[in-house]
Amino acid sequence: MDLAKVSRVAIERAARDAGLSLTAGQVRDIAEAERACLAESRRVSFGESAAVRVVREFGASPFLAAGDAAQVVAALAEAFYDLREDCPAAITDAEILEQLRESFDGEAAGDVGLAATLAGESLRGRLSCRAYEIADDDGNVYRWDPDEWHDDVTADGWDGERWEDADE
Amino acid sequence: MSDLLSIVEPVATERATQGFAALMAHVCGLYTCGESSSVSEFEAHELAESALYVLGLTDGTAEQMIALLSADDVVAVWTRKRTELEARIPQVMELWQHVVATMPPIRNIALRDTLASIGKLPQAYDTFFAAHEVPASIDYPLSRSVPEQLKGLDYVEAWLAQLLAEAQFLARFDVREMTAYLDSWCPDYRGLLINLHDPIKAAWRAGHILLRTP
Repeated sequence: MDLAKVSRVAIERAARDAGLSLTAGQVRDIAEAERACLAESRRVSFGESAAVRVVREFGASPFLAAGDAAQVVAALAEAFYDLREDCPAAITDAEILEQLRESFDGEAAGDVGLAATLAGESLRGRLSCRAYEIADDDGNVYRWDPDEWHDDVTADGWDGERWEDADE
Repeated sequence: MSDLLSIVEPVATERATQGFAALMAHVCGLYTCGESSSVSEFEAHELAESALYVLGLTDGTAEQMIALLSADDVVAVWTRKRTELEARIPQVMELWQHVVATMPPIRNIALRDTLASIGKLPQAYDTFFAAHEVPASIDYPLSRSVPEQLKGLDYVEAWLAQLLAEAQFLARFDVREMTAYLDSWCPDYRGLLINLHDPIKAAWRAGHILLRTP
């Protein structure tokens, strides 16, 4: 199985669907950059690759020019994997890409590094609101504030049977 | 023949590789609930170990792996074998119940806690993503260790079978005599990680303790 070829074909198809024109060389560069990202972040991709999803998600971005598309897509894929590593599993891939796109097209104005920083802050903020929250079967939501969570709470004494007290 | 194998082998390996990739994509998709397209290398390794254990390929030869992973629908094979694995759980729990009923009531914390942990196996055993792991905290040391290469339910089953043999031996003696001997042999036998079968067997051989009269 030529995984590299499979990856390139998927990127080409995603680019076509997104209306993004990429040369064969750019596609190859993007695929190779993603392999390097995966290796560096020690992750294994089993479904649609991040590069394909980045191309599809960012293809229509006003800040993604065809000329430097390969570098920008590669940088966005790397930013995605960095955020994937930082965020717990509760944050989905789709949420990460959505936040990254929002930052990239918004405040970051095409700056990948700034977009990654802003996206990370936003995702962490979202998680801190979510982490200590649970809903019961009736839809009641219970929240508690980690800032009010003190570590000096002691556990109840163990009143289990001690072996030397066991009667035989 | 070797020429034929040299032609067939790459094709068979390619097909098996595709089958395994499809299975891993399915398992990882379940693992992430379809919400991520990647997992860490560690997670991928553990998921692969679990999948191979379910397929019965943990110690499989290359030929066995190629044969099974080349199936038309490897995911369907995995699903069927996972169901078969789960069907073995009640039998293992019957063995556990037999051990618990046979073991004389000699107080030993490690033995007590280990048996209690195995008792929760039906709730703890994850046949989807951790089938290769031992779903219990097994601390009590056996007289004869179970081969470490055994995994998952196989390990638990072999461990219980060995403990049953030891329990059946201990059941041949009076409990009070055993505890009196153990008290003299090791006053802290209740709290330490020690095997109970071995000192009783040694005491019996030395004539310090006699078989229970029927």
